[in-house]
Amino acid sequence: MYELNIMLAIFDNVYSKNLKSFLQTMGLNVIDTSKDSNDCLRKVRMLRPDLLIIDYDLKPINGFNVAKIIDEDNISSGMLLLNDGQKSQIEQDVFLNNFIYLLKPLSKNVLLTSIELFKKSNIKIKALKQEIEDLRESLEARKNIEKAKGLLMNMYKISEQEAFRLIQKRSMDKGISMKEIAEAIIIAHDIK
Amino acid sequence: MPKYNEDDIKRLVKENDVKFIRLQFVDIFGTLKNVAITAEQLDKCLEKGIMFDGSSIEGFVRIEESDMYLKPDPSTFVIFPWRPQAGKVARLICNVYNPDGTPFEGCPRNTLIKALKEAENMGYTFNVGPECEFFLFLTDSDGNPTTITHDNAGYFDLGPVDLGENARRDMCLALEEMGFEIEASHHEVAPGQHEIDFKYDNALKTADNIITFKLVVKTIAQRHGLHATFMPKPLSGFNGSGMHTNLSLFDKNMQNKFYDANDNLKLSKEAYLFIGGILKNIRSIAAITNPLINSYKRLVPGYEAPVYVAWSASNRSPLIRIPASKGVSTRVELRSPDPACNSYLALALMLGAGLDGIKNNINPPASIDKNIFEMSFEEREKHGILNLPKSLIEAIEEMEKNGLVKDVLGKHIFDKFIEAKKIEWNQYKMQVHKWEVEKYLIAY
Repeated sequence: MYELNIMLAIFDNVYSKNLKSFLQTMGLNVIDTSKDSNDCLRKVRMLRPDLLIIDYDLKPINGFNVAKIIDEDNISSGMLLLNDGQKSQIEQDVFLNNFIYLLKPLSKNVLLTSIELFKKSNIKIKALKQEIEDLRESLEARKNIEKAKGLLMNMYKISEQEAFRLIQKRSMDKGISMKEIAEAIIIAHDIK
Repeated sequence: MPKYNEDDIKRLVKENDVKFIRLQFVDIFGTLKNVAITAEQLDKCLEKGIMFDGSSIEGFVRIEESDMYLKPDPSTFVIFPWRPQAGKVARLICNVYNPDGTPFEGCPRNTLIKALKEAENMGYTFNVGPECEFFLFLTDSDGNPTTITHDNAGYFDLGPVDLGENARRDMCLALEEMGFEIEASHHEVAPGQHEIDFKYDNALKTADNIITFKLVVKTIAQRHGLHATFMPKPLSGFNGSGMHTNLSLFDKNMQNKFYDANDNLKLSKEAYLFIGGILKNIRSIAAITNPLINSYKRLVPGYEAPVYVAWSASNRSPLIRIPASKGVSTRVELRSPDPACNSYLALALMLGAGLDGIKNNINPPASIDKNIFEMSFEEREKHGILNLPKSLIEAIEEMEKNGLVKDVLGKHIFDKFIEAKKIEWNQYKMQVHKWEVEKYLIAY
């Protein structure tokens, strides 16, 4: 069961406590809260929450500018809570990739629906990121194996199939991946 | 950093959708000032400069003489890396000119340029490599900086992620994006203290780099919810922050004039005379290299900071140290300056002092390889070892007596600086400190 790690950055104590209770009652996981912008920036960088619910009324930097920093440095995603007046004050040409705006007064339904959508999209993104990482590793391994093959072909004057077979056999004998054998061959060659 | 000319700049501004350009300059205390222009004003600015009201800058001019010009140095153009894709901000470092087009003598950058010209006439380029230390502190819930460092903050249950390490890494990345060549970056001795060293360059570039460096460190620290400070001694009982400066003179053929393979320390005659000049003048230039009252709380025994006027090839904590690597890397390391200094003025005076040694054949005293801190007062007297000034007022009094300092800085900066520092000292003297109350209130 996928758990979303939520962090709150809200100056108003009462609002913060109430929101936290509400979310926890709905079975959501609130990992920490913050009351000022600097504390928020420090905590977000350390905790890396999946979702940051941040209020516009933070000091000394307002919630929008904090969200901008978090967005630019790609640390977290989230929701900025603000009222109509504050929304019109926000720089119109700034587009935040990872944040949405939720207008206050906050409707519980809107909040919960947004969190639900967020959770679903988060699951997809995590899966995609993992796939990208796997592909990258596989590409890296293939590149190294090609390079190692080339080195062996040069060193021992053997054919491509023979070089590949050499790496494969060594990998099977030693019980470690072909990628690691290839890396060892490359390093040994560089040391020479 | 690549050398940009005016056409390059116009192109880059367009290509990168730069909306604002900050025209930067420093006042005599080294505080960074800027006037912002839009991309539309850039052409005119590059051609003629921008007029601004100099009277708003402390130490510049009186109200009556306020119109001044800022003329940018195109080679200092850089786009700040921490702005979003839209609405980028760039900067140009400027020199200040009088309305009649002559260089304003209250502009510290002009002062350094003048000093470098004199060195050039003697056949030298002055290269400097700085090592800047700084502290990263937490802020309280009102956003005010404290002297609590992240090292002992309460996040231990979340794993060994050091806020400061991440901030410092991002600082290095930002600096590299802006063209710096970072040589070293590490946590320093005191809690929350860090150091970043970047590659040496000619003194003007280095002075510009130091100003930029301080801006980047402070900005990135803010983005991490931390407060960066270059205050020399924020915590008593711990090491302070210095700015060790590695100095060398090169000739027109890029040969290091401090290197002599035949010397047992591999130093040339010029290097020795340069050292002699610095040692002779160091007490007089201290007010500029260590400009704060707090600077002198750092220059005390026991914290790796220099206290005595001496040089050594082997000791780790002298005033002047000779680093081991030679050949093209031969240099003299001056360890007293702190990062609160105005880098343009400090480097101008270090150069002036060193050249004084060369011009007037000032041989340095013998190097001291014993531990000076273990010598008695009589021993130090015997060796002719003086102290660095013990306070800002002592440093100012030394500066006032020295004609060389007045020559290098020019009368305007010399007078304004001394005047401001005397006021600062008096303000300090009139405060009753918590320490005095705690010590004396009950006992007396």
